[in-house]
Amino acid sequence: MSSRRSRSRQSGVSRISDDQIADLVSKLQQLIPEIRNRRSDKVSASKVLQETCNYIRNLHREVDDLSDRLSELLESTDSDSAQAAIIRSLLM
Amino acid sequence: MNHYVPDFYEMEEDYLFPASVFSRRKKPTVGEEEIMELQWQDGQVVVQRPSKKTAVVGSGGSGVAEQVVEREIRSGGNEEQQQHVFMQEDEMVSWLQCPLDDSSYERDLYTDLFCSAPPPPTPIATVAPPRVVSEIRPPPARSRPPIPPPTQKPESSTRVQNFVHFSRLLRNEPISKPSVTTSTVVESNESPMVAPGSGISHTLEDNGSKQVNRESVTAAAGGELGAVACEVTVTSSPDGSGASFSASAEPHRHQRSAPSSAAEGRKRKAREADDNEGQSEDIEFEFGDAKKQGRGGSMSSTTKRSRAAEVHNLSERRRRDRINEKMRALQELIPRCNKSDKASMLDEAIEYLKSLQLQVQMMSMGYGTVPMMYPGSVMPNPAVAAQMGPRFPMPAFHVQHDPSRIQAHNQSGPTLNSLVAHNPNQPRIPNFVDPYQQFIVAQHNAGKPSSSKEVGNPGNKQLVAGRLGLLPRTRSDSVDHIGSNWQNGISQLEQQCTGTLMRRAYIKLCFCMFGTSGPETTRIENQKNRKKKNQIQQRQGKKNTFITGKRVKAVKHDFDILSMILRTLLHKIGHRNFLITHQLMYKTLNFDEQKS
Repeated sequence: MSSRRSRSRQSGVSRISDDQIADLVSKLQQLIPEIRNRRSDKVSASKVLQETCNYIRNLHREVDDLSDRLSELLESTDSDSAQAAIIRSLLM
Repeated sequence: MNHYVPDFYEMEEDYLFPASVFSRRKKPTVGEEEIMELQWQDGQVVVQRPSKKTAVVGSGGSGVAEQVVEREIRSGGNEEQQQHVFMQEDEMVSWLQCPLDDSSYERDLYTDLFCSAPPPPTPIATVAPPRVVSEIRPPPARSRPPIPPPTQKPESSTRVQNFVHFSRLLRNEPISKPSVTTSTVVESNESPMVAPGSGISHTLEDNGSKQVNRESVTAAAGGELGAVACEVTVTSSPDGSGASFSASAEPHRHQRSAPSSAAEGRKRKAREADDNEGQSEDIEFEFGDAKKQGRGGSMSSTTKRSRAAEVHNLSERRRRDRINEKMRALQELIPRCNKSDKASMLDEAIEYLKSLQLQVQMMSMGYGTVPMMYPGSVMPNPAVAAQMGPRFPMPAFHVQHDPSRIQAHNQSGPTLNSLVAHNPNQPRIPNFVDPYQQFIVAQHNAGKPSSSKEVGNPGNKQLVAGRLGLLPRTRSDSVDHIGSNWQNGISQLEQQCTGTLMRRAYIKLCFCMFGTSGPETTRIENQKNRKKKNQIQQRQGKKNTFITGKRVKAVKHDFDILSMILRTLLHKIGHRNFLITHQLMYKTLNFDEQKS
């Protein structure tokens, strides 16, 4: 990447970590469904990071939502039942 | 208005500088030393140093004060300054707000503006404005509107005019100032800064520096070379004195990074939207082109090249800044992330994301499963199970997860109960089955006849096989597979549909996954499981320390299995337990194997 090149001009050390970072960003890219599915050849790191943040927030929201549902479900079941145990385990 | 220092104390960013201040700024007559030396720092005259200026500038008020003071001091003997007396208040404010190195800026700026003769000083002038701009980085759009008023002011002294130029620049207006050569640089620099006039003050406050960095950069970019020079000069204002753009560009750039980074840091934190980026980038390109075209003739090739390089560096810096900003945002999202290193932080983000995905998957699956686990509740329909499988939100593993997942969530409750025979997700089933099938084949050959025999359930067998095949793979890459197989396994399990069967399936699942007996449904099963576990573990080359180094004991309840599974999965994937407490995990794992 030109950016990496230009950066390397400024600091030789950063060149190595730039590659690492690019690799990690690509890994991250694979995890994010939006980017993975629309798989353009090159997605900017900034975009990947942005999508990651959004995705994590979405996941948090889902976890909260699921937790609420499971809590409701838990209340509706017998506390001794296996289901309740499972629900509790899921809710941790 | 009293331009003297005391006023600055009182005045905040909104302080409106009388034009005189600007005139003071310009201090061609005053030696550089003076400028350098006379740095107003909140009541003190600070010897100007590049770094100092930056630091001092840090505070808008003090910066402003500095500038004002300097200007005033310097302008003492400057007749030309009179013209600048009319300096727009906005401009002044912007100037003040920008923690620029006044001395250099002003010198250059003033020289350019007022003298219009010496080209070299331009950088300074530009420095000042760019500094402001960089600091403030008002969105070009925003900055532009305020700019026009100043430009139109009759008093537009050279300086004002220059500022006008900047404003025009921002607006892509052609700059026609005679001091163009210098002003070109200045203009470009100033354009971002011009906005400051009134815009900057507003922008500073409004944008919270979000845009400022970008905008200023962009504005600078608008000027392309000019901007670069400005920015550069701004940072290195102290150095700027007399330095040409090109020459000073380099040092300026470095210096700029310091103040700009500080400013940017502040601003970046405030900034959240990417809009600014987009705008700034667009503006930048726009300006750049205009400027380049406009300047083409007047610029020397060397200057152009240097400016091009500067622009490139600027854009690089901007890009990096954006990325850094996003990384910080990401870091905030990740719990217990104390990594300052980018690579490790990204690594942790990846792990956290996986664990989060898994957790959501587990929870959604469990949410769909638990209602099914009513003893005696029967899933008469394989389709139902199949339906259940894909219906479960598998975060990001196979389907467009967000809409489908959420939909699944909403549906899971009622649908589970009414789940019979309605299979809207039919098309997705094959997806789930296929990856699963692979494992089945692979693993079946590997041979877990005992496990499969134990269950006596083709579904379970497959599940076991799949699991077994799946387990060794692990690590991050197999998250998807784990998820899909997990999903398939669960759906398979659900097909069994009875509580007992489910339990057995879970046991098998645990067995497969952990190599240890899952929750016992019967002691015999547990015993068998233990044997199988050992066998499997040996086959897999794993020991009982498979999961956490602790002996896994029989779980008493199904939920333990689920927890165990979850943790094992996470563990296999190499996640830290972001979401699951270690305590719970160990507790779960430490079941006592059922004694017969």
